[in-house]
Amino acid sequence: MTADTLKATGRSGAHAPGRFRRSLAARQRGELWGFLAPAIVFFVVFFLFPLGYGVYMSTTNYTTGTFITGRAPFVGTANFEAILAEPITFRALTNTVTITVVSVAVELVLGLLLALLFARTFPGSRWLPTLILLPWLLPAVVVATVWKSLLAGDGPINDILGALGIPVQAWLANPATALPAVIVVAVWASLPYWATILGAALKQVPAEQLEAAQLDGAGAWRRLTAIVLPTIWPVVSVLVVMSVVYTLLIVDLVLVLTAGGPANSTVTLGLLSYRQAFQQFQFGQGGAYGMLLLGISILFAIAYTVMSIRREREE
Amino acid sequence: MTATLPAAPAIDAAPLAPSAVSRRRRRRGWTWTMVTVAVLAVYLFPVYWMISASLQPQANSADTAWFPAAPGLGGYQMALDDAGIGGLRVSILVSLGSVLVTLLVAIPAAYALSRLRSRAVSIALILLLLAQMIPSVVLATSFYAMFNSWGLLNTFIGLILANSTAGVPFAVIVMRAFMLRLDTEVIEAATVDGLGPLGTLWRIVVPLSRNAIVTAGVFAFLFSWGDLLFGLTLVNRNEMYPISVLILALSNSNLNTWAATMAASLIASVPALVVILAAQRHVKAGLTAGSGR
Repeated sequence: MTADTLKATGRSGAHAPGRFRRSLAARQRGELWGFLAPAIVFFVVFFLFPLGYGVYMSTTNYTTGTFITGRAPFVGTANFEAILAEPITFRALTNTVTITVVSVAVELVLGLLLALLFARTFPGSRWLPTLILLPWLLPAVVVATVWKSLLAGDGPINDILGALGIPVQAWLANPATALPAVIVVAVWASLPYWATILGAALKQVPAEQLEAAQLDGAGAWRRLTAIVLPTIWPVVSVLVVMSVVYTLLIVDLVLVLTAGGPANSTVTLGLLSYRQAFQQFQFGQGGAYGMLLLGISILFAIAYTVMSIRREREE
Repeated sequence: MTATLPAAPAIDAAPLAPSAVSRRRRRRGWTWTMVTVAVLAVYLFPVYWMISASLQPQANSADTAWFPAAPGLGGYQMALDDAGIGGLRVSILVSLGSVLVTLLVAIPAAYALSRLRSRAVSIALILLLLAQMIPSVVLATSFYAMFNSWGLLNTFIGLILANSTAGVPFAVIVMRAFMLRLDTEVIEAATVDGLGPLGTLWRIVVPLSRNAIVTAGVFAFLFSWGDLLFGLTLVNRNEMYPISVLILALSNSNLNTWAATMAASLIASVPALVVILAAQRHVKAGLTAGSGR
């Protein structure tokens, strides 16, 4: 039908049907670019410009006074030198990396275990696994608030530990246990995501191959390492990098749980950026922390992009 | 144990064997059901705790019981009384607004990126991925300065635009993946039949991509609903705080009961649940069609 109409118009109208078709295609391309315009404007105003402005702020002495006088003296790399001279920056750097590496590793293992459990067929296996999505729907501030009460000195977790004879304590108020507690909460909040995506990936594992391996006497561990893991590896690798970037950037969870305390034992780069900008009103230093965090996440972003391009090419 | 033995008298036992096997399998099946229920019970305990504690307004933080023996709604009253209703209203308006902005920006872009054959498409996709990796605290800091000079602090527009930065990249990626699978001939037929570009988009592409659009909208809603950072930084007037900021304030306050905080938390979780349940069917179709791309 398309071709007929084109041919008809071509014969009756213009001299060369080819040129008409080309101009139609060109016009369509123009229209499509027009459809991109709002997104391009949005991207420039709400991503590119803020990013550039962030870089600018990190090189100036940008404070509350700037909003009144409109002046932000250029200070070059002074903000970066100032934050790098602070011992708290290294604390934040180690904490950020620790939270990210430990929680992503634990999420991978627990998420895979849950996905393997849910992949089995048993009475209720259709609807029981969907219940795990529930925590994923809770806003981060709710997750952190609920856990704050669970982990409190007089909270239910200590009730259980006390009953088992394990020494109880205010987990979030003790510098030695606050960081592990934050990691536990981060893992709890992300598990539904991992279990769901890995569960979908497990469906790609060829069942005949698993059965054949079982008949050949391959044990469960051998089947997992030789068949299941290699099949789902592309999904796992992308998931790991995505979660690393996502976890690096977490601010809200820590902000609600501990606000960086006690004794700065749970500060992260994102939290320090927030603290400098919105509590100390040192936007320059806040920006510098933000750029440090951005630099780290860009490294992983590049890794992720390379991986997803390679994956798309394979398909 | 004995059920594994009757394999030898093949001819006689043949009609019996399947039922024995299936019974054994079913029994093993129930063990897995029990394992799953146990795992879920432990994993979902925090959710139960939130509900239980929200119903105990008379208990102080130390004697909040595991079961609300005498449930009361005082916590909900406290949560909604002063600022709660206002915060809920701000959150709902901002979330719906950012769904609208996200879809208005992302639908045409996703359509264009699914039709254009150009190197620019892959560059655009990479930029979208990178945009999702800019720390929101960096955006918030810049937005604070930008919105301050544009007069957008403490406004719905400001919050809506800031929250749309979470929705737009995701929406474009999900909807483009879906639109790639649309039948090109249907779209070209519409063009030739004299529907303009906007007509084609609105009458043909949008109805056909319903599932992906609902999915993108739902996620834009959830992102915006879950936001704390923008609400905390781009607002400094009490009546413009979204519910998330009010929960943070409650959890930091020195109330000696958890009931109000937990009630507010529960109230803040319900809209997300309602939205995802209502859109469940579309989201499933929208995501599966888009996955693997």
